[in-house]
Amino acid sequence: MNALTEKLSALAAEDAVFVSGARVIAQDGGPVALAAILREIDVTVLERTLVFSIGEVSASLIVAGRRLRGLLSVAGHTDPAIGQPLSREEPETLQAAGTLMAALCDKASRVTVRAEPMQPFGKGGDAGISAKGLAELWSIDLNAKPLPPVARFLTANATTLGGHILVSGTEVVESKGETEALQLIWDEQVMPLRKAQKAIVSKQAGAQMMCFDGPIGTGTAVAVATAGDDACICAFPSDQIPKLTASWQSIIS
Amino acid sequence: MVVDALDTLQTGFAGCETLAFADLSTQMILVTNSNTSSQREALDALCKEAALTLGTKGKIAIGSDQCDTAIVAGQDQLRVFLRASEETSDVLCCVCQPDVDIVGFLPAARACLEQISSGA
Repeated sequence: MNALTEKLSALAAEDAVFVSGARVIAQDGGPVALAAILREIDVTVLERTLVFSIGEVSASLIVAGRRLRGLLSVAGHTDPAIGQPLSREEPETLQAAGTLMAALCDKASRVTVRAEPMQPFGKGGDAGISAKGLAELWSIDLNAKPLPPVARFLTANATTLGGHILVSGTEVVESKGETEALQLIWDEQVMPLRKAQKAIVSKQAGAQMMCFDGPIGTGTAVAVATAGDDACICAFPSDQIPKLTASWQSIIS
Repeated sequence: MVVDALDTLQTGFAGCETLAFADLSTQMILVTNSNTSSQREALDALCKEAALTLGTKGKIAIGSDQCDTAIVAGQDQLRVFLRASEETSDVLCCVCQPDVDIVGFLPAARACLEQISSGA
């Protein structure tokens, strides 16, 4: 039954990305991830156990009527807030739950959700706290949206990049660090290169990063990343090619 | 044998699908791993993309210098192109799943190419 429910959910969710049967709701950590979790609570009307995979940690939350009733379990954690019904009459438990969720989300690279049947939790009279109420109590902007892939890639690797140019449509929206050589490449070589590649790989679609080792000197790599209307060109040390490639793959996967 | 070296590399990394040893001067695929599912047309395109991204004699892809490594990372596929350090027409073209362990794969693929290219 669960497998059928998961498949029906997958079919119903347009543009949703699934990993091992769980829907990806955030590709970033921090407040964006916690906001995504609160939005899931906000759209859950029937009694459900929402199982969130927050990075490597699995957290089961009891949710009903667009309200969070409590944290059923968090793998590897024994916080006092776990297993306690949430209520405004217990502000310390409420805040502890928020602190725990924020800590879990802080460094998570990805958050997924899976809805499972309700499990016994607390007393029947515990209504829980609405997602909007939690957002206020935990100082989370419910509308916080993740950066687009190219901007996210630049932000995630900011300390590694020697310079970069971010372009949206035809407009340069950001230029940082050493960009003289990058600008020249962007102006004169990137478009012909992309056209030539499209002629060879006609099926290539979606986000893509092309990475080159040494085009502006030994020890320096240059990458050109595109996703939708956004594109960037950036330079970084050659020994960081595997790390940045893995970073790009995790963002677009 | 070249095919043995390619097969060893391919079986060592989950998500590594096709490995092709090619000559950029003639833009010909010389040897592939034995269980590749890539058709001839796909291999020809792979070789052309290697020539485009790594650059050929007198034709540089981007910047001012020839590259010895190029990677095309897409949503469905990761393609890696490596040029040998001595015989610069010798290249290794790799087609992998996007979730291949790129951190481990790159140095292993480089070592494989240098071994093949040097005839060791």
